[in-house]
Amino acid sequence: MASSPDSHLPAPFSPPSDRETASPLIYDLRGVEVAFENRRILGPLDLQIRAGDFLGILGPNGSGKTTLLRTLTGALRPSRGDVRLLARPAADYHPLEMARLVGVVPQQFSLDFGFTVAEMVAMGRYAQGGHGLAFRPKLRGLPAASPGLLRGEPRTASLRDDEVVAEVLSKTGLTALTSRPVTRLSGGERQRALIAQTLAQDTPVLLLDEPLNNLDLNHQLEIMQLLSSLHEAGRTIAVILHDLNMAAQYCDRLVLLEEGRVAAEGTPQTVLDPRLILEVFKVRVTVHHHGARPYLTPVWSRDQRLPSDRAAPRVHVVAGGGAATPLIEELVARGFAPSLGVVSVFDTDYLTAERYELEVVSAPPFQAFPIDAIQQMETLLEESEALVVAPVFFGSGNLELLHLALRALEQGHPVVFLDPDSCAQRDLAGGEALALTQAALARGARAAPTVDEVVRLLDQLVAGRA
Amino acid sequence: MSVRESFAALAGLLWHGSTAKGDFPDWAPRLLLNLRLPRIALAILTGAGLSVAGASFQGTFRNPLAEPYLLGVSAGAALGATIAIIWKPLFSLGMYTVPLLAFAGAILAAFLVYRLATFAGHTQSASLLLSGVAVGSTLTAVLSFLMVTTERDLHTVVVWLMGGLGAATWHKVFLALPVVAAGFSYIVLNAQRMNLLLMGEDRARELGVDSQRTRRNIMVAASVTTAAVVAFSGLIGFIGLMVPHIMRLLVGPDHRRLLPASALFGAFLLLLADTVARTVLAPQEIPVGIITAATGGPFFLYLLRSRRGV
Repeated sequence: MASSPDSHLPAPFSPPSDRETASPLIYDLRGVEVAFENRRILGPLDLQIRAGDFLGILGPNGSGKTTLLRTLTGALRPSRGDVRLLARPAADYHPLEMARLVGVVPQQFSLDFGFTVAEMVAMGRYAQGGHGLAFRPKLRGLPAASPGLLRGEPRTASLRDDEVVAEVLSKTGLTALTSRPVTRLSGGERQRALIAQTLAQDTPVLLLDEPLNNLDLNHQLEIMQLLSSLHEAGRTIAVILHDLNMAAQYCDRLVLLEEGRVAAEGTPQTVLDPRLILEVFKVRVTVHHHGARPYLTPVWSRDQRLPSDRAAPRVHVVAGGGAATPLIEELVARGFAPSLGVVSVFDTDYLTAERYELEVVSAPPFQAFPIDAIQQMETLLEESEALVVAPVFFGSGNLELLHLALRALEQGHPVVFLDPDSCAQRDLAGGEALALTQAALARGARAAPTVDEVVRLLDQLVAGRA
Repeated sequence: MSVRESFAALAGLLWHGSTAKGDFPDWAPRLLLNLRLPRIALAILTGAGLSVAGASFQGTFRNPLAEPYLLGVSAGAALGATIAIIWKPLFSLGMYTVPLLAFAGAILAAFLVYRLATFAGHTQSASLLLSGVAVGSTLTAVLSFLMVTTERDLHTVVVWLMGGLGAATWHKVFLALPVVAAGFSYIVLNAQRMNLLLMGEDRARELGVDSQRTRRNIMVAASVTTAAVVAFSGLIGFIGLMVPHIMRLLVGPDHRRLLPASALFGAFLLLLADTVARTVLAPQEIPVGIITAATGGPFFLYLLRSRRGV
């Protein structure tokens, strides 16, 4: 997607310095409720959208996202409350006035007749005067209270329609498909043609309902980057997204809907809280960060059990330096409840345990493990089905963990070593770690070359116990 | 009268009026003026009117099977005409009794269908199609009842129902012309809106079209146009359904081209069909609807198969 400096879609106004206080209100929703046949499907809900916002609307299926968007466009009239666009009820706008202010990318559309892509996109010019032979109704004057928003509007009216069409086609990567009939496009191409049609409308406000539907990852990112540059140029954008991470990366403000109400609103950091996500989406996620923006990963579980379940068999893992992370994630996915230790605070494995809210015995970094940490770990071991030793590097600081493994064997606990063959390379204690490992294996510890093998051995143990 | 004589008579008519004398029978200019030319004009109006109305209904309903008679216009006109024929003395409108009652019947039927399909200010395509069918079959039942209980005028009724341009006069042409011209102009001026309506009412609204209102107005214009030509020409089938399809295959779906092209081709096709209907078994005439259906159907199939996927 080329974005040339001499862009035909200039900024309708410059981004305000202090958005929260200085930006004029575009949308003001107060006590809005929408009902179908006496059943309330949205609200009561308050929401403000200010000039220059890049708002992401999130929520599970059926939480009222599309209803909210259709209320903003005036297609749905609220049964209670007030939806105001530039201080005037949205439902009072003539469609032509609305179409000059607000561009909409709906979730679906149909065009069964064989218009070409260029013809379809050119239809977006209707409201700006590219209407061919058609009467144009006289517009009531736009509201006086439209502060700065409509300066220089319509921005592309001086341009020829075909120039605008050519530009939005290039921005959406459709130039090569200009003269192809819409009926012969793939799903993703149709979706981009729909977005191009809306962009040709050249409105200061854009509302999009799942614009990434049917798009591959490459085009998803292109469309989000395009929206981002339109936002940079001063447009106000509200977009319904299913991909929470996409929303976190691109939107400045998120609103999370749950059963027609606002469950949370604010920056991505405040809205994408794992507890909130669990409550609204019923999904456990762990939060990472990509730059300052949160990045969520679902807890990939191929098992019905969650690590916090009482029924999950417990396994203690000797970890450190990130060597145990793949093992821990696989154990969680397979329905085990691993505990970790002893590891240094902020060790990679420690962070993994924290993400999955696992029990972990920790110690300050760069010091010998304190006695009470070792005791704590022995207590955990008593409650565990087995002890698994991950392929960690051993030095004088953590050699104590191998002694503990030997003691566990003596007390009759099953012990599994993951990849003991590589122990020689991981021995920073002058051969002592290797000797201890070999001693453990000689006394009945099991060796497992792969994570899968560890899980198989643990499954056997649990089955044997039951 | 030969072709050469006909042209000579036409030239004579143009230069010297209906009393022109020349290398043709003395009655020829008057025959041209009073019989042939109004018939040609009515054929052009009817063909153009039905085709544009058909294209409008197909476009606003987004349904390729939509036709000008969708809102019960045909059944309403037929019932109106039949009542006029059977109880002629009741209406002292002279020679215009039948066309005026047919027109009134068509408009009333369309209005009834539209009202029945409108709930709380919203009119759905499916409800319109269904109430069109329901009202149409009810009116047709009344029509059939009237036909079996009358004996005297049955032949007249059947001939009217089959449709034909044989009774064309300049009076009829000048009565139909302003209605058809107004309806056609309104529809053509809304061509781009009809393009947008092809994406559905919601999408058209998002792009700035007052969908409900536009669709209603176009349906009114198309129904009035249809009623005006049906009142004078009777029920001529096929043209309104097929001509827009044929033109869509040739000039594409854009109504700004499709509507004028349909008007032109519809006028041409009906004129051609009427000429054939008049001459092929002369002096006997064949109902023109038979010609339109018999030639247009295969031609349409040929286009469909040779330009697949358009």
